[in-house]
Amino acid sequence: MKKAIAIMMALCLLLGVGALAEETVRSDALVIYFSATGTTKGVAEKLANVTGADLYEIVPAEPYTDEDLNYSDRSTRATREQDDPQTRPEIGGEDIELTGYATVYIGYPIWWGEEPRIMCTFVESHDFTGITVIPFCTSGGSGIGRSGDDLAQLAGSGDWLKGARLNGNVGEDELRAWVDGLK
Amino acid sequence: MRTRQKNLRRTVDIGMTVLLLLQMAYQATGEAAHEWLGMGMTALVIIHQIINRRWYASTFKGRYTAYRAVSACLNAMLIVSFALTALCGMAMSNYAVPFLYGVVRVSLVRMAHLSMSHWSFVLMGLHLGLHVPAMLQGLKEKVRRALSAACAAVAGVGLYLFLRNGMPDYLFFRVPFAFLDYEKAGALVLLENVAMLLFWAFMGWQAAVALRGRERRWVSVALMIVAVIIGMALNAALPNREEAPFSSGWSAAVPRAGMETIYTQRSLS
Repeated sequence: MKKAIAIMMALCLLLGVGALAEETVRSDALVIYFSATGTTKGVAEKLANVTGADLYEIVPAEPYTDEDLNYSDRSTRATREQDDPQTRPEIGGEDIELTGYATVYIGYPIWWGEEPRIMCTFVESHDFTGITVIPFCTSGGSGIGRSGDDLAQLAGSGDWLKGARLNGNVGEDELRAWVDGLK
Repeated sequence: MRTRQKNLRRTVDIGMTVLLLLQMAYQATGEAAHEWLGMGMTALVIIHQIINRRWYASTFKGRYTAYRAVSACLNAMLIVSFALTALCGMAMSNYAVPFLYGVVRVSLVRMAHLSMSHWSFVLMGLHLGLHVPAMLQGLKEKVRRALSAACAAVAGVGLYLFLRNGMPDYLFFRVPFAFLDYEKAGALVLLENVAMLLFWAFMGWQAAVALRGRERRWVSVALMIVAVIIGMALNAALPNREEAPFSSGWSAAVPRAGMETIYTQRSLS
């Protein structure tokens, strides 16, 4: 009887360890994104699908309302933040640990031709050493411009590629082709 | 004029026109090429001024006919709008002259660049048109008439596209940054640009014919009216962007957060 219980417990332990092991096994790729209206989020999710990467959303401590995003009013939050390159909106939600990832895709919408300032907050507070970082953006019309280079400079670590602007409704095939072309 | 000089002139003229059409296809050329082509176009425009320096020298000489007055005003506006377009473009450069980025507040410079570039487009079309009668002098009157009639139809389509693509909003400083359709085939974007330019060139052409008065004026005025009517009728008949047979290269997609413009208001209903 005691032997049977011991064997069962051993089996349970093994299963437990197995389950635990699965949870801690991560992809070596990560897609980080910030999305105010959902466009970048859609692209990030597709990208994570295509690359088998983990997904992490940068959630602002103070969410952006529709009024905050009103770009025809110069006094609204997003416009004011973009006018000031030094401002650093706070990030809320859980933090992410970057060690262990070999490739990190970092995505954001283009606001007033540049990266949203919350992206600056993020890159300044994380270490990208040993990681290949690939910025991507969505926009009304702008290309990626200098946003990737800006973030690379602020991060001060990591191997930053040029990155690209992706269409809001980019297809998985197109994404796959882009990712393959990066290697 | 000696042939070599004439050839140089024509080459520069054609170059500027081709570059203009490409510049208005930002999403097809990409941002880096847009900047470099812009620098190239600026160089050509400067060369064009140097080639035509005698026009500057004669500004205060001789009699001003109606045609000459209109042409001179137009040229003055054009050189100012182009200069502003180029300077504002350089002040937000990421590739060609990145050291100029931010010399003036970028959000301001962007709106100016978008507005001035569209004014330049319109004025360049008119400017081109004003010089067409001189180019067609060799043709018989009947041929010119037939050509005018055919162009009136295409010009009407060009006006329709101009309206549908929300271009007037750019002219009146209502666009803080461009919404571009990246999914549209580059060739189609260029074709639309040709049609839109053709509308303004046609209007300039017929205006020149009417002003110079060497042919019956009413014909050219009537053709201008016909082109405008065609354009406006198409715009009224095909209001919905999604349903229209021409998909827009510069479609001002539904702007979020309450930006109301003349044309998006109409098409949203």
